[in-house]
Amino acid sequence: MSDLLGWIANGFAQGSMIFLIASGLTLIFGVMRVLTFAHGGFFMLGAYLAHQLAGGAVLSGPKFWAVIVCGALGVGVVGIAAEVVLFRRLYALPQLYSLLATYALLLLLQGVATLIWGVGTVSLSVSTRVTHSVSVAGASISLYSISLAVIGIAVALMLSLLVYRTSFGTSLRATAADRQMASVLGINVKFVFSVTFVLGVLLAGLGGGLAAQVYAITPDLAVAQLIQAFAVVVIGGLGSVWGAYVAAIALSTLDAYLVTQYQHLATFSFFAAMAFILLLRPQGLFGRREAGA
Amino acid sequence: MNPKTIMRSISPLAVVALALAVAACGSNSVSPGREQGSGTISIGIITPTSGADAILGKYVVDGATIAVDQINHSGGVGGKKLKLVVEDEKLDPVQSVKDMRDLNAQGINVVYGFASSADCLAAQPVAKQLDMVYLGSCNDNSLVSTKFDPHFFQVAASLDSLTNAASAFIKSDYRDVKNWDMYSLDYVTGHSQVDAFKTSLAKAVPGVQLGKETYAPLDATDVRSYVGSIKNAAGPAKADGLYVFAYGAADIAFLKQAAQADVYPGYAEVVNVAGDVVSDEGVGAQLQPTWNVYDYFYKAYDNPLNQAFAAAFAKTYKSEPVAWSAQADIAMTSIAQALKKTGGSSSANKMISALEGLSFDSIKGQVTFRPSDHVLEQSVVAYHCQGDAKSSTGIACNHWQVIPASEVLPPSQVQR
Repeated sequence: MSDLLGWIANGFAQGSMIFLIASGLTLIFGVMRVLTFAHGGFFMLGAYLAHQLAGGAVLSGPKFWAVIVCGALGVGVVGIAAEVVLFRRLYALPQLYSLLATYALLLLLQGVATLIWGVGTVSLSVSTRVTHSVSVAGASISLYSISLAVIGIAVALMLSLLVYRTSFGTSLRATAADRQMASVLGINVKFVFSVTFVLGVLLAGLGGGLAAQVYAITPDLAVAQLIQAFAVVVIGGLGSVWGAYVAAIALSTLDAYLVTQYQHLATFSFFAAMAFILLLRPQGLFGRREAGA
Repeated sequence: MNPKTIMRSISPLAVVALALAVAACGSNSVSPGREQGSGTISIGIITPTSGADAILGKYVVDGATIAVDQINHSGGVGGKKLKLVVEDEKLDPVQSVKDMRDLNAQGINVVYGFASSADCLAAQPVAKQLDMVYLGSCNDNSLVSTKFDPHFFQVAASLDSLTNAASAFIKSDYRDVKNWDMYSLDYVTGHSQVDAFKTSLAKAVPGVQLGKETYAPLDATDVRSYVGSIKNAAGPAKADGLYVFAYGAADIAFLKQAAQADVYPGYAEVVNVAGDVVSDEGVGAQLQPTWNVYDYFYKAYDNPLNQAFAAAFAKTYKSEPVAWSAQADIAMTSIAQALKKTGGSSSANKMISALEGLSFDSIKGQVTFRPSDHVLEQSVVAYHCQGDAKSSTGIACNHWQVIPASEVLPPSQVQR
């Protein structure tokens, strides 16, 4: 039982971090049909801003969470600039342009991070009150892992409420379905795009700040989780937030189980599962088939 | 085409161009140098200057630069100044081979570097073919045994030396710790390191029990599941000691995530072979008490050369030198000494003859390149670090033990 709880806890913690990147990716693609590599850069930036705001201090619980949120907001500001300067010009262009341009933005963000913080590893230190382990049914689980799991579920619920229970969400879904018709019906499509993009970037920044406590903070963090996040978006179904959440948690829990029981299978399980699911459901778990497909 | 359309087309391309420019500025890659002039002798450095381990490359270049500056300040070699030409290893064997060829094309015959043993092995046939000599900070045992080649000289303490040192240290200070789990990286060196440790510890501490082995992917940033796997092993048959082999970003990931998973309280001691202050500072104040076993710790060597080196390093780079910098310094010193013997000639045959058996004073005391297998006979140091919120680096390392070469060096396995 304690083993099972350990796998689930690790799966939820790791999956929540991947979900935070993937949720933004899937929202941006679902609404704007833009595949963005730059998301990894915003994730990395969230980690660096959290480090910078911490100022080298060992953070207590409330200060740690405040630093994470402020770092995410800072990334959101950078996201606004990126949307105005670059992404608005990509919406009407073929997807190849967005892949190239967002990859370039990823390199730009990594280069800027290296210029500002150097190539070395920087750290974010937090009080053990935030990270110590607690005993749950005989399993010793890090409080931080529990926090990540709670944040992941909370973000998924909030996004779901936003998309399905608000007028903005109605506009977002209409724009995703048919942007021209939405525009004709009076929806400010540009506004919907901008808000969706910044929201996605903010989530990536939040994920980065949370990751700063777990991973080495280097410019390489920009690509550390990006491939898995893309895999989760595809498996969950492009444009589906709950799809991304279920896929992230399920695959991370599977990975956690395999690591302890069949380690030699763990390294490729993520992508083997992706191939298997897409064979059965090419549109992903929660995605919808394209008309004529 | 109207101006708005042109702008829409140009802007993404402009961002691409700008991004490449900034990425180039931000990276540590250095353009290949020009062919050496008559007043200089160029030495190639192949080390990661980009990617997750770029910090290791920075320490290598910084250490080599300090050494070369000191050598040039003392008159150089035969009146000629030494000059470094740096290429990005990218921790990729294919890139490493390309770098060797690029350096050779510039007239450079002597190279130092290689953070990865896989890259060292890849460079071997190229060095043979192009008649180059290379000194490596790679420490896989096969390089000085089954895959020995006379063009290679091993500057870093070999894996066997590190594991012998860890075992000697455990024997002297923790012989009551009878059960050991092992955590390592899932690649050639990670596995051979664990095998060597098991053999070495069983000889040093009779009756020792070897527990679970866990291998995490070399490039994994999230190793919580692997860390959880270790912790699960500390069940009813609880292991007392944890042996860790990891370095760079992989080491930082382990140290952070093991601390959060409360792995440390389950073990009497954690010994981190190849761990060093680079990783420890990356964790900062949350670092749990850990014994690092590696080539060098700046406080451990009380001699004028090391004091001068550490002082110059701290003055120039505002940080203390680490093992990677020390290895680079020793390599540059040995190259300079060898060049003096060859009269300034860097031809492979002359350099090999000069380096074999070369005994010289270094920052770690007197060291010698063993003629049979080109292993550098040197001590290894075990030093204890833990998080310290009051320290500017976030850590404090106040205990160390130098294990002499006679206790760590394995016998030569090369018959020549």
